[in-house]
Amino acid sequence: MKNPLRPEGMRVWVIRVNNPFFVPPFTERKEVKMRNTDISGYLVRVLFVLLVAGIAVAPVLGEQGTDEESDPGVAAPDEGSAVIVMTSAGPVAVEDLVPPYPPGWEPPRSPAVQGGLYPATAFDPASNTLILYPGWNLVSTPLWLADGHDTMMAIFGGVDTAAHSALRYNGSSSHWEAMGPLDEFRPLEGVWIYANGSYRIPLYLKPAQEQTAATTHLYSGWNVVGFWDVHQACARDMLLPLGSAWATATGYDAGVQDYEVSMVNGGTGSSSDQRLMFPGKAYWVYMTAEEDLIRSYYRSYSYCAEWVGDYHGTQAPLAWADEEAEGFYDTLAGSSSWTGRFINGNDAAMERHWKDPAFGGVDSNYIDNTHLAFFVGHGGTDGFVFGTAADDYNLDYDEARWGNTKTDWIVLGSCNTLNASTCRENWEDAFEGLHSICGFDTIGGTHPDMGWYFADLLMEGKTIWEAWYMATDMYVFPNDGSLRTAILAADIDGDLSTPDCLDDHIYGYGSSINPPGDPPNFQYKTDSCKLEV
Amino acid sequence: MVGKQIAIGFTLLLLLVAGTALIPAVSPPDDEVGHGGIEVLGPYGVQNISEIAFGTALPKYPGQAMVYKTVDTAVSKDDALKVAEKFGMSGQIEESGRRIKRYVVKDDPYTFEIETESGYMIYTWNDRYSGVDPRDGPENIPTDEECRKIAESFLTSHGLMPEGAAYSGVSHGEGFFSNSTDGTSIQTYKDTCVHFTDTLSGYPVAGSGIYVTVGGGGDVLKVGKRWRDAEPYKDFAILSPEAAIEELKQTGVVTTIGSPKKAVVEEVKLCYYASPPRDEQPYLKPTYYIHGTVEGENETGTFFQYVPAVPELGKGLY
Repeated sequence: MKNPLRPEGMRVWVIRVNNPFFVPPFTERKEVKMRNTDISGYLVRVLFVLLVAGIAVAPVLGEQGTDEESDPGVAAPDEGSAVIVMTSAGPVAVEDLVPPYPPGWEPPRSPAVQGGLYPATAFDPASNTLILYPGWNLVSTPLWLADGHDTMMAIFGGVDTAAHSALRYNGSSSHWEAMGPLDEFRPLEGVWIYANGSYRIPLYLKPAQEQTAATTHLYSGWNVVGFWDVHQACARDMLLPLGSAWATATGYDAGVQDYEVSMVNGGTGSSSDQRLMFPGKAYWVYMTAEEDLIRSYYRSYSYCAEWVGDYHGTQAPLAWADEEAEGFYDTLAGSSSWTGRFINGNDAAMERHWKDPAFGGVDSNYIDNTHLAFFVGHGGTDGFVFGTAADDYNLDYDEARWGNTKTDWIVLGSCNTLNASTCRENWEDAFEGLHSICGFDTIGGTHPDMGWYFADLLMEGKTIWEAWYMATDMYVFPNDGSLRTAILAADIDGDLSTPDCLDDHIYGYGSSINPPGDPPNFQYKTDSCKLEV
Repeated sequence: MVGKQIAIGFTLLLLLVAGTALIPAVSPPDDEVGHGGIEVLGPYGVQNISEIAFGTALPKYPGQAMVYKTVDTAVSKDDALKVAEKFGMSGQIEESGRRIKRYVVKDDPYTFEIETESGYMIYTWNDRYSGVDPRDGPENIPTDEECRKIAESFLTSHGLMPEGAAYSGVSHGEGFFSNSTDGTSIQTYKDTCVHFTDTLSGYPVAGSGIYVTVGGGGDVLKVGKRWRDAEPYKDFAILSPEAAIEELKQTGVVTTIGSPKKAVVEEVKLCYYASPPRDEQPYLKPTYYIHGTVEGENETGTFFQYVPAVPELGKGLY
């Protein structure tokens, strides 16, 4: 039975050895001639049709069977048996593009039944350990490795590969290549390696001061891209330098030995590009044009602040809003990792700066174009309030979609915006990559020193939540115990015993964890503003 | 002729530019008319109240009360070590902080920090206080009364209960986990914060006190202290409680209830008001703390407010 997923005419090199690094590269290769189908050009045309016409076309993948009886995990150098790449008889939806499998191996089931959204962990950032599962693994190094610890031999020399070569995919020639023992294991590159058991392999990363940017060139069609960084990130963020040139990204879940659901550039739902990529893993990335992917180690993060004290009689003036916001802005400016983009006060602070373009706003050019946004002004359970009639006074919760450009954290020095009875339902839809919102469950308060004190604590390495409740403990004036500060944070894993985004630090001052867009769960916490009478 | 044409053209250009600039002013967006979608609370939630009733008899206070002069608090390294030792901590002391300098002692699982300038200190069981430890589920929290005993016992046995501190009440921190897919929400965390307030001349000092946060199994998760040292200055004439209520009509009330219609005073007590650290406050002035219930259009709740009681020293809290 013919396998419609198999390309033809593709040249593949396969090595059959016990340890792929004890033989000179390419000494026992056989050239495998594949049936000839210009699949990449075909897929580009499909993409073009989809993009131009905007038509979602149901996949027509043809039969899922195979015409060879390969034993999973064993290299099969026989003609026509090495590589499986999707082909089809008709138009294919972008999210249904199926990347190549390693030579001599086929999926355990139909590609239509793919791995989950949260694959098996490939890297433990606490110990810098790469984790291999029995079978094929598609792995990468999250950062540059130290000299002497950066070759395939140094890293995988102790792995029983059951006679399989370690492989990489050449996107330029669309060829698989066996890796030699002295080949460098480089960031942004992905390696297929077979493990005849489970392994935990320590990676010796270069110290921070020696880490530099990593670059890889991606070609039209399929490429394998290693994830960069020791912390997970949305596909959208990881692949941001590629702009619109990337179409899909597909991970491989070594735990279930199958591909994950593809992430589609601009996609939604299970194909959303706001789903997570994880360190230690590599991904098939389908490109519609050539592009360099450049990731730098040292990054600068941006923040902004807006405040309203003068409501022109529509509301009571809010004392100290300016000093609180400016104190925050000026203090964080002292960080070498953070750059202030703008601070607007009174009439210059506008609702449109916080409203998503889908609702007529321009937040993608303002607050959502920064990583951290701080607001001081009046608020209520439905949102927060501005003082100018230039546009809408009220930023309602259902007009906010934060993080679909850049924003990770929002801090609202506004009364009742995170009210316990309403905030989870109200604000959940605003999380489009956002990690958390800090604010008040009840009436809050302003103080000239609260902003700089909050920023100072952030830069001391306190978590955002810790810094916020410490600042409000200190500066919200003595009360009858009814005033409470609050945080609404994305929860990623559904595990009640892990804090996830509740324990985020700002970048450069501790760990944080990137949530997907539309996180499935949330954690909400309140803390009484201390010091009662 | 040419000059006249230029002048006319220039005038027309000016009119065009001015007219364009005025468009937003003369044509406000529809949203302006629709303002009011969010129920807004005032600064600090202070809102005017038109009717004030009494739910309790007003207390009697002397016509005079002592005004205290604040004393600067500076913490040395030795001071910090002594306090850390009271907590039973023996770890290395480190100086940290940026604008706020503080001494830090870490002795797993606790961290002790004290600010050098203000003396503000916190002692925290870090991993527990993040709020996701299963030990701190709401079912594991002792009753408020038990928490009070635990807190008093902890402070007393460690020599940390300040002279003049008096129990003032409890509050709770809470944590919830919600699943946005099925809309379910469960409470995963609860703590009980037991507050002890400083007293001067037998009156509590709002903003000066110590608290103990008790978690699951009665474990102490956090201790915080913000204390304003002061010495007697001199006696001043103070407002009567009745006069303070009249002032309340001017100051408004602090409440979570929007558009309050009627306030019922349940408690009036004389206290002192201590500002946050770093606020210049030369004196601690007698102040009335007024507390009660408030009725809004569709809901009821509580209110409170502080009313300075020494007319001679002005209407500011500090």
